[in-house]
Amino acid sequence: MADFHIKRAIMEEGSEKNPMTRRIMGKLSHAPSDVSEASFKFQKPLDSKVGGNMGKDTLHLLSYKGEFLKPCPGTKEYICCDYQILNVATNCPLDCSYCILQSYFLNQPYLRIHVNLEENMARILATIDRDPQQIIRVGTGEFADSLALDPLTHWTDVLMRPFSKRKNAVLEFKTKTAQIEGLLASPYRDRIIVSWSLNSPLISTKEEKGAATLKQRLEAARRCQQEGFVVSFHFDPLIPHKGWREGYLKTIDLMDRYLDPGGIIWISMGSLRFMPDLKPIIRKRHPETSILDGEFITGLDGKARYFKPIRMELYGFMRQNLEQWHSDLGLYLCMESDEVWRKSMGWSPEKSRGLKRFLDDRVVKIFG
Amino acid sequence: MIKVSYMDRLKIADILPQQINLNQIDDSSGPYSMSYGFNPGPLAASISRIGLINSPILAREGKGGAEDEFVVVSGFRRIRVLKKLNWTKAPCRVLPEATSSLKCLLLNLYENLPVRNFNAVEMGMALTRLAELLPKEEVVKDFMPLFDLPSHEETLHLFMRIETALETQAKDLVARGSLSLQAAKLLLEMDSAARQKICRYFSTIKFNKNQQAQFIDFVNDLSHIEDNPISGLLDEPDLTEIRHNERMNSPQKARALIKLLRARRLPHLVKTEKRFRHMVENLALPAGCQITPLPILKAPIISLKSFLKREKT
Repeated sequence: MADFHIKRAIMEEGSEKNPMTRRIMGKLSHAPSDVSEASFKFQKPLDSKVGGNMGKDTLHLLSYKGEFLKPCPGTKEYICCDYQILNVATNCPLDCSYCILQSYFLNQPYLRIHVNLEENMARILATIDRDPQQIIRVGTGEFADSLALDPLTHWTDVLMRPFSKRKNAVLEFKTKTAQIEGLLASPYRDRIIVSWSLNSPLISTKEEKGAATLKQRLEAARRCQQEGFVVSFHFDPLIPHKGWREGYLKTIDLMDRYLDPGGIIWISMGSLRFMPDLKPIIRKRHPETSILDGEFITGLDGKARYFKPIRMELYGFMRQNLEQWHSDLGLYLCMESDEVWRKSMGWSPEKSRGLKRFLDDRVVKIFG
Repeated sequence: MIKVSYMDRLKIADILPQQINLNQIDDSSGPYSMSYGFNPGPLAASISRIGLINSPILAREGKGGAEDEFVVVSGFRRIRVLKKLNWTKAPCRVLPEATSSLKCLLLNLYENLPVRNFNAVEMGMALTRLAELLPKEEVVKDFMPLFDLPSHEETLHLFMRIETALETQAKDLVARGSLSLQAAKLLLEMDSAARQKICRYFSTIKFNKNQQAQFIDFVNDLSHIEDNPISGLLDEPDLTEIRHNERMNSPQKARALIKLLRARRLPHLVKTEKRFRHMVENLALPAGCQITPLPILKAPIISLKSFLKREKT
C-alpha cells in the first residue's frame, strides 16, 4: 500500500469480529516489510501518548456510535454547498501543513476507521431514499482522504454499488493520492465522482507531505476518465505565495495536458482558512511552512481567512484562466460571501440554497 | 478527595520546636518550596513587631549531628525574612527522619492552601513537585481542582512548563500578573532568546492581555516572513525608539508598537483602512454624522450613524 507505514493496529473491544476489521487485519498480516512490525493489540482506553505525527502510523479500528451521514458543518455567514459527509473515518495518513484535521482531531489521534460502516449501510441508504426528488451529494473526503486507505478498507467495494443504483445521489471520493485500483476494479461508474485536490506545484511539493505529486494525481484522473468515471477537482486551499500566478497556471496547463474538460462535473475553489487554535499547531508541526505568511483577518465565522481583496484576486485569476481552458467546468466557491462571489465569479447563487441548486443541476446535466 | 493515608501519621503539633542555627538551613528553592515572587515587607514588619508566631518546619539532611544541614519543608518565606532580619537562630520543628518526600510536600501544600493565594508560578512549582512523586493522572484529578484549575493534562503541562521552562524574567512577570497565561503559553513555544527579548518589552511597557497576544503573534509572524530572528527584529531602531521614547507613557508605547507591527504584518489591510478614512473625510459629512466600516472591512456593509441633538430652548 503506497508509502503509508502502518506500524500498529488498535482494535476496540467488540470490533474484532467485524468484517471490515477482519479484512484490514488480514491485509496487514500478509503485507510485506512495511507492515511486518505491526503488533495487533486489543486495548481500551486508547493510549493517549502519541508523537508529533499524531499517530498517523497507527490504525484505530472502532465502531462509530454517531450518525454516519451528516451535513457539512458550514456556517450561516457564508454560502455553503449543502454537502453531506459520509463519516467513514477520521484523520489521514497524509500530512498537509494546512490540514484542519490537525486541530479538529487533536484529542482523537490515530487513523480511526469506522469498521461498522457496512452494518450501517441500510440506515444510510434509507436516509437517501427518504426523498427521491432531493439530490444528495455525498462525500467521504472531509474528515479523511477518501482513497488513501482504500487498499486496506475497501471502501470503494462497500460504497460504489449502492450509490450507483440511486438516481438521487452522487458519491464523491476526494483524494490527494493516486490509489485508484479499488475504483478501477469496480464495475460501477454511474453516480460516482472521483475527485482530486489540486494546488500549485510549489504548495503541493512543500506543504502536502505524503501526497501524490501533481503529475501522479492528474495521471490517475486521466486513467479514471479513460475508464468512464466522472471527475472533479478542488483548488482548496488556494494560497498566495511567491510566484503563485505562474504556479497555478502551471497546474492548469497540466490539467489541459491530461484531462478532458468535458468530463469534469465541478471545480471548487476556496482560500486558506482556519480556526485560530490551528495556527500554533501548524507552527509547531511544520516549522518551515510559509502558509501562515499571508494577510489574515478574522472572518464572520471566527476563522482566520485572507483579507477580502486578496481572496477576490485569487478567485478572479483562477476563474479567468480555468474558463479560458473550458467554459463549462462548474466552477464554484467554497464558503464565500455573496459579494466575493459577484466580484470574482461575475455571478452569485446568493444563498446556500442557490449553490445547492447550481450543483444539483450539474449532477443532472452530467449523470442525467 | 485526597487520600487520608498520605497524611494520617504526621502529628506536627506533637513535635516540639527546637532552636536551629539559621546558617544550617538551606533557603534556596528546594524540593518542597512553592513560594515565588512574594513581597517580604509585611512579614518582616510583623516579625519585627511581635516576633515569630509559627515555627517553620524542617527536614534534616544529615545523620543527626550538630553540623547537619536542614531543608525547609514549610516556612520558606519566614526563614528568608528571618535571615534578612539578621536572626541567627529560630525555633523550628524538625520532622522525623523517616518522613517521606511526599508527606513533606503535602504538609507544605496543605499548610499554605487555606491561608494564601498561589500565583501561576507557585501553582506550577506545586504541581511539578507533585508530579515527580505521584502519577500524573492523580495530580490532574485530585490536586488541580485545589488550585481552581480544570482537570486537564494540557493545563497541567502548561503550569509545569511555566515552572520548568520559563526564565526568571518571564516567571517574575507571570508571578506579578503582568504576563497573561495566554501570552506565557505563546512564549513557551519560542526559543529562549526570543522569549527573553519579548519579556524585556513586557517588563518595561504595560501591554494589556490582548496586546500581549497580538505583539507576540505579529513578532512571530514577521520573524518567519522576513526570515529575521525575533531578537534581531526587536532590536530594530523603529521599535527601540518607541520603547525608549520618554515623551510617551506606557500605554501609548504599547499602542504605538502594536500599530507599527500591524502595519508591517498586514500592509494591504492597513492601507485600505487608511484609504477608507481618507474617503470618509473627503465626504465632508455634516456634524453628527459618522460612517464606520464593519470591523476590519470584512463585510461590504458600512454603518451610517447620525446623531441628532435637540436644541435647548
